[in-house]
Amino acid sequence: MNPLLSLVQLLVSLLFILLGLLALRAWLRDRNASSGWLALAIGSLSAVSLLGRVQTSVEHPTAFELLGDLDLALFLLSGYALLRFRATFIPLDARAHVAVVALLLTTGVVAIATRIGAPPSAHTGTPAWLRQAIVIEFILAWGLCVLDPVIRFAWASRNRPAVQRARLQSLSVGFGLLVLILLVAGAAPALANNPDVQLATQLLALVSVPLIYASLSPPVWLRRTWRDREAEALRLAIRDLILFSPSRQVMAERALEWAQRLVGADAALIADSDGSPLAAHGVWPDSVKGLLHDLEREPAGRIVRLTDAEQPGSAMILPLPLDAGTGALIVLSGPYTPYFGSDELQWLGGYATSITVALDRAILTERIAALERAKTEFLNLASHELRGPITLIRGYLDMLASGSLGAVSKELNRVLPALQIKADEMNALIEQMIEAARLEEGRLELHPVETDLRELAKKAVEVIAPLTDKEHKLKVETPAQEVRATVDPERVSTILTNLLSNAIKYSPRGGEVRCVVTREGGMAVVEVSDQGVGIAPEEMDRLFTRFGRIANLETRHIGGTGLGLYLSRQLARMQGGDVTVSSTPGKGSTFRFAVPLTQ
Amino acid sequence: MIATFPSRQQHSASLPFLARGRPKRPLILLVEDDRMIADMYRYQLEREGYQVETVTDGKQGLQAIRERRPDLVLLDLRLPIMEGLDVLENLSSDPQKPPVLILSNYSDSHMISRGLALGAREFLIKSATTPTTLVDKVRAIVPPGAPHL
Repeated sequence: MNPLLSLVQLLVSLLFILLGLLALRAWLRDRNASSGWLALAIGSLSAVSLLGRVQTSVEHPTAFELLGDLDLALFLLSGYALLRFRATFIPLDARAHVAVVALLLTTGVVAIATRIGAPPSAHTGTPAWLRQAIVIEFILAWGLCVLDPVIRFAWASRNRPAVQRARLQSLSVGFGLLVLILLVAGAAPALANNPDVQLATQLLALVSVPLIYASLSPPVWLRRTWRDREAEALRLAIRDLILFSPSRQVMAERALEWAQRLVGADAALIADSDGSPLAAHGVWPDSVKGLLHDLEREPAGRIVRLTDAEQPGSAMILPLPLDAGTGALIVLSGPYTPYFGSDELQWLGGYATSITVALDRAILTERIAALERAKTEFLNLASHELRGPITLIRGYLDMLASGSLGAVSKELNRVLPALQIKADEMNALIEQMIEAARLEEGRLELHPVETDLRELAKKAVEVIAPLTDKEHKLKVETPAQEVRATVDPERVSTILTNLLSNAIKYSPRGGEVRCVVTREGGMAVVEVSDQGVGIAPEEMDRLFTRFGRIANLETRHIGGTGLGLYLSRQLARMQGGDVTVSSTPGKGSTFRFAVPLTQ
Repeated sequence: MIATFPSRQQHSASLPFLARGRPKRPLILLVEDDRMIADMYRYQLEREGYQVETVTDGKQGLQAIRERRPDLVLLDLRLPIMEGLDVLENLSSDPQKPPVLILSNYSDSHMISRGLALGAREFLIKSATTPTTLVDKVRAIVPPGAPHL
């Protein structure tokens, strides 16, 4: 005999025996039907291998025959046990079960009666063709029991988390190889006797051992390797989770998907600090409720074997030390889950830390969003409520000025214009607030029409002129030809009057305020420059933010909402343009409004 | 005013007879819940030759429009009991409905377009409408001295 072949054969036998012992250990460690049947399937296969070796060295004929019979029976048992193993995940039809048992029993009895396991010399009464047929039937019966799980596991592995998929595929391929070997041996004995084919089948058997082992009880490094395949995707997912979750609910939902996926769990749950579930996936046995206690006592989490549940398995419970109290992340193993061990617990612990941070951050995000909403709502409400009183004040001032309320004394007539200007200013501020609230809520609608910017600039200067005093010189410069842009004229007027009134307000010692309309490239430009206090470079950034007023010794007495420039820039940008600024502190500022020219 | 309105209503049957000897002043119905604002507009309108009746909620407004047949309605939108837009909606099938000017401090674009779609002639923002400008707007639709039917 080929020495290499016998060496490989010996190795295969030894490995199968080792595999049997490992299966037994796995069952002892986690005693449930699933691991029990798998242990029986692998254990009986390894016993077959062991008995085969013992048999060759036995010389007593009766003992030899008995060992051969036992070998056949154990072999069929391994097929049956594997079928039962698959039945713990995918229910087996009761009638199919009975049929399989009947088939296996008949096959066993016939095989033993005809002594197909014995060498050909021992068969005197049975014709060779019948013997061959019985051998084939024997292998087919076993193959039926084994092929069913092989195909079903391969099928079930699709769309599963990487760790579950890897486990199911190793199981499927491992047993698939065994079926292949036996089919070759049984269906083509001539081929099977070829030493090269024998060596090849033994090598295949050798390969099947680690595969079956991996599916039975994948070692830590293997589980880690399976998980690592998704590590990059997970890293990105955690980043998105922390940065972009709109609410805790959504965050918890997304976090669960990954917790489940990476350890191959069938169900996962995140409990809030008050014990209520924030998010849950999968089916939960009632016993889970009892797990939410003494969370703080085990900061590294714990693994609980669930034995009384309908579907026995394990649960990993990780405390989430949230600001408001301790919550929990629980994952529940399913039939296809490889294993929940200390490595999974440690890994999940790291993930739980990310979830804790993200959940607490989500509270902040929600609070900030609520605050922003409240601010906008307040702006909206307050501004509309302010419109009422200002209606009355401006209305009566107008009636006083026009004489509707009768003759007005000389003294009152002198103060009326001041009252009217201030009431108008107040009205403008209220309108700014309303416009800002509209903008924030996305309710601002523009009504663009083709307009000559020269006209808008001149009108804005006219509106502002009454507000200037003797110290200010207001100048407007426009080109001879039209400067047409498709804009919302009311909004552009708002921008221009705003820039002009700022120029006057922020040049308290007077000087020239120039409003210059030009064309620059494809843009219509209106520049408003003053000789006022100017803006320091470090203050430029805040200038265009909401409520971003710049107050220093020189300007803090100047009133305003801090909305004008914010609104001006937003309105300009909504029309394809912008408002920009250049300034020299102490010398003055130039604000530049630009929008695309109409082609 | 609310207090005076029901009593006037009782007179309405004999009003053409009573009105015979008087100068014919067009009737403006002002639906406005802020009494001070109502008084202000009313003062200026009466001064300019209009007869003004004021009611303070939408339901009374609708009733007054149907029973008093005013020449023009000045309608606020934020009103107790029935909102201004609902008043307009109730009127939309009325072939004899008077012209309506919306006079409101709530001026969202959807309110404006809804108001105009329901048949309002114009949408005026109160804070931007002084009594003098309001009279100009009213005069463009109903000249003072036009007959009150």
